[in-house]
Amino acid sequence: MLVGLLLAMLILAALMGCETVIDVNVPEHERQLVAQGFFAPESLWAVRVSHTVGYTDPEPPELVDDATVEIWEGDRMLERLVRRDAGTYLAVGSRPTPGHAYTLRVEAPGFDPVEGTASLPTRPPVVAFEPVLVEGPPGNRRVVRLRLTLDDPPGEENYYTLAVLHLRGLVDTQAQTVTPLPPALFPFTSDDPAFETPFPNPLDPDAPTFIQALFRDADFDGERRVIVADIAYDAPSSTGGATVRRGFVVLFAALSEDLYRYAETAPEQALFGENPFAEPLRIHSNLSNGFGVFAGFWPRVFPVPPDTLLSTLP
Amino acid sequence: MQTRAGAPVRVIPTFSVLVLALLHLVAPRAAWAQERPARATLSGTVSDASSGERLPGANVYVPSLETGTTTNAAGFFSLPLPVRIDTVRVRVSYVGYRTVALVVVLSDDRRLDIALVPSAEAVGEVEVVGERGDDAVTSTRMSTTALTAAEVEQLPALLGEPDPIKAIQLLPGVQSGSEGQTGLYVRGGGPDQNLILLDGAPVYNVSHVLGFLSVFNTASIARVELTKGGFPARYGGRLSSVVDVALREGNRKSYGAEGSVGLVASSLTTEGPLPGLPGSFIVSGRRTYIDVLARPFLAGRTNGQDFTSYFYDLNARLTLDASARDRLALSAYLGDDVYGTAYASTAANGVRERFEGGATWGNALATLRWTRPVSDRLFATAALAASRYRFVTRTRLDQGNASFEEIAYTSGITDLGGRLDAEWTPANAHAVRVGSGLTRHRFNPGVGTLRYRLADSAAAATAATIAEALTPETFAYTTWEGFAYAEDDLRISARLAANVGLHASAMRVGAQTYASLQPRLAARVLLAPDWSVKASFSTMEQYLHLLANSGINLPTDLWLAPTERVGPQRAWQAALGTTARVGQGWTLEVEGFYKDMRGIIEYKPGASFVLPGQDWQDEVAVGRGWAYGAEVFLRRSAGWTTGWVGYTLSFSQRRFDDLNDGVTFPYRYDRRHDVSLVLSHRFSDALDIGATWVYGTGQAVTLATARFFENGLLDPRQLRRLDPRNSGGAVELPTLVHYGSRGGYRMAAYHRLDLALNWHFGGALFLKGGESTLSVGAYNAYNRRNPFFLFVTPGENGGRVYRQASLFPILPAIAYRFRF
Repeated sequence: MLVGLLLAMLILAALMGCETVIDVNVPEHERQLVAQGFFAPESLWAVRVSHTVGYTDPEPPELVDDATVEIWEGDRMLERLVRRDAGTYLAVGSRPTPGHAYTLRVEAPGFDPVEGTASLPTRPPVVAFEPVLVEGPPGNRRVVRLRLTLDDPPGEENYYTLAVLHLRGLVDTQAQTVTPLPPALFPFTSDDPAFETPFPNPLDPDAPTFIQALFRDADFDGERRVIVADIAYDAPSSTGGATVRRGFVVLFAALSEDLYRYAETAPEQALFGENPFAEPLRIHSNLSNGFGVFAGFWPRVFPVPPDTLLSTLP
Repeated sequence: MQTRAGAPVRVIPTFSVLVLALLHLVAPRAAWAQERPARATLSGTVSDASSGERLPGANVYVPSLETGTTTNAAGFFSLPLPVRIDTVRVRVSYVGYRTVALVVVLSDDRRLDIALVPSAEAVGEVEVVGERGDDAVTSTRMSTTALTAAEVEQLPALLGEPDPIKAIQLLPGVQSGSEGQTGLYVRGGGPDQNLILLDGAPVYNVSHVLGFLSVFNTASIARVELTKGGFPARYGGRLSSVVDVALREGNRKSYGAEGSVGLVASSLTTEGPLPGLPGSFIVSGRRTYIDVLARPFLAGRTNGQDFTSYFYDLNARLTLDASARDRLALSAYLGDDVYGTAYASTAANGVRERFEGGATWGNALATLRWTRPVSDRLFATAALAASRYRFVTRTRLDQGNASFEEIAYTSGITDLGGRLDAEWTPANAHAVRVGSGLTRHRFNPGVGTLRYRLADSAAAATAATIAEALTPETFAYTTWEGFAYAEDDLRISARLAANVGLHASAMRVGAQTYASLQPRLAARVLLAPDWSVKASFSTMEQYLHLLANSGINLPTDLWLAPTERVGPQRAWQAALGTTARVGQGWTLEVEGFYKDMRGIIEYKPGASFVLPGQDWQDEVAVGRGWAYGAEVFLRRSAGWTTGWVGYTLSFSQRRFDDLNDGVTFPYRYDRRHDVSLVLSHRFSDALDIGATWVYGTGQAVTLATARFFENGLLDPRQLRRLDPRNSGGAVELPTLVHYGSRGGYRMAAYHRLDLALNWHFGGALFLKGGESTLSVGAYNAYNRRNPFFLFVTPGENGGRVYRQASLFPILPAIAYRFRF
């Protein structure tokens, strides 16, 4: 950062004196459909449809309400989705099942039709989940170590994601009410070399910190792998008559390659999109004639028990 | 083998003997057998008559036999000839010098030390006729061009500073990158694929002022040679080109000085014979003074802030004749760019504090070379070379009570190496070169350190300075790179000649060794005395990678060794061409080439810097590149009007699995058409002009083409929450940007005219004697707004507008050079 800042100052100082600026005409953009549908085993098909606008256009993108959205399996149409809300189309009966390939077809007046095919990934191969309290009372600090054991299927590329969801609620002991607070992704640390894109942690720059870890099995294909991650937090505190109740849920999911690539690129564009020295990042899409992703994932959820249920400190 | 005096030769390196024995097995034995009984060798040196300096690359040619050679880097030549010819006419030529024709009696081996008179001093000369074409037509080498310092100085220059790298950019097959930059992109290759040597020492960063000027001070340079294909086996380590810059030896006969005063920099060079010793010295220094000139104008406008902004460089060379045959040369270069700011202020707590911050980068090089003509046919060279490139940025905050905090970041590379080379000309049909070398690379890919002293009021005087490494000590590492080569310039028949060679190299990185064998082949068929057809094939291996930002030459660019994940770069190149003399002093070269490169790296999208402690391998993608095209080079190197016309038609592509969805995309510097017109014309001895005009297809860049909603992870369970009727407002979805195909948009074409008028007159610095030159000129004479980069600003109607920033408008230049 320091180097970048200094160089930016130097370059600006060097260039400002002689820079002249003229407008540039770039090619017109032809608007295209954007369809996005993620599905899990036994979930209802749900697709949101919008359209692009040219990068320099003053108008924002818009949701598309008059689209025809269909799910096909081979030559057989499973269902035409019904518009539920603005730009949102939902299935009524059919659900995705493992081992099948599904095709999404979207048409709307004034746009080229888009199409993409996807299937569910292999079931997440988690064979054990062990949360252990490694730092705790009498201090106020809590560190819970999460150990997930995977038996990675051999001979195929597998993609995974790991996240920790923070569940909170305000408990009013006098009124005997619980006011839920919005759940949020909770940062965790891990030295696992497979994890990509650590999140900058100004409090502890040496600890690789993640909000959502994406990783692939390139280094452990077909092997047993123990994923270790730590979550650190302060113990529940009371304020007046209210107490914050904490809970954590570990989300582990197997991702299809398309979803993995999408999840890899979309947040990174937001993070690095303004870097003038970097080559721009393209968002992954598996739809022809349009943008967006139609992809499957297979989630598993592991709740972390309250402190008292965790094993004692070693 | 016998020397001229008949003494047996004993000094041949063991390795050389082995390689020569190998070559002996594969060489055409018949040719050797026929010539061995009756031959004589013409050997010696070619030097400047006025200064005594040796002239590398001078042509020694025997027209009647259609054979010749060129002097090596030490100005030495060896030319075995059939002895049955009693007398031969020998023509010795070098661009900028009057050609000498000698009649030599060849009853035995002859040594000739020839002094050439510079053309400007040639008495009664009306028009100097160049003979440079001899070598260009008859040599087996192709894709090679040499420029003398005089040629470089005649060209118009940015800010009046003549620059050999900028001159090389005007040659066909070479792209310059962005406006005003010193980067070299040769035949579709990257900026890291050029081996740039200053008297044999590698230069890792040739840029001053963020790439707008190079580190080479023309006043101290004798010659620059660019090889962009058909690499002889003596060269290795880079894929795309070798730029060999030779420093001047210095005047061996008299003391002198020359200097220049320009708009941004001045330089001073002194030279002369070594006092009391057979040899010479030359010392040259240059410094910019924009900061000094600007300081009075900025006074009172910077709120006490002080700025530093300059570069300097020093070149020196000592040449000593240790004996009649042995010569030692010590060359050194030191240069830095220094930029920074400093200011004092009062903190909120009333403490007076001072902030300093800045960056420094530069090279330090040294070469010690020993040369010896062991015999008339064997020439040996041993050299030790050291090269260090370093980038340092530092910020320091000094507060009261002697407390301070300092953060520094250092990166760079340091080389220490040695090499042995031997040139052996056993017969007219063979010119053999063998050699080997070893280099120790010390890589520092970015080490951060923090030093601070916390002054507590009680213990302020005794508080200790604490230093912390922000990166592991093991971050810097060492590798060893070695090479050996053998090549033979074979004259198979009167018309057919070939250069056959093998370059072997290896690099040791930790426990891993990378090795390669790189065959080289070049052939020439003489269709007529003035017309030849040439072909070449070469393979190259490059162990070093440069993590470079696309765009401009930044001093933060990092040199790195190969790893298990990111292996060496390798390439092969084939070229076919023809060379002809098409008139008095005119040479026409036409070449076609194809180059395939593997293992090249690019930053992944979104990445541009590697921070301390970050694994650079995670930030790069490894892929393939290829380039092909045709080049036309029409050059006139003698006469009142000299210069060249260069045209390149080229296609340069890249394919990376991890970039652009795995689809082939054009390299950023893929330039379909590239034209350069270079003209120098002497109206009289007192007045000449220089003009250059360049045209290039616009750069390939990636543009944002569309915006669209990030429609979100649409889990049916979230529908209720995302429903606008529940949230009380419209759904707010983040917007993503779609970028078109990588390199899918072309910026506007680049073209520019530069002019220079040089007026030469007697007297230097108001002193009698000597000579002066006043140069006035203009860079971008017709004020073309050439694209430097594109950016986006808000438009009038709420949209966005793409805009183009142009860097240099018309820039006048004035420089005064003197010499006495």
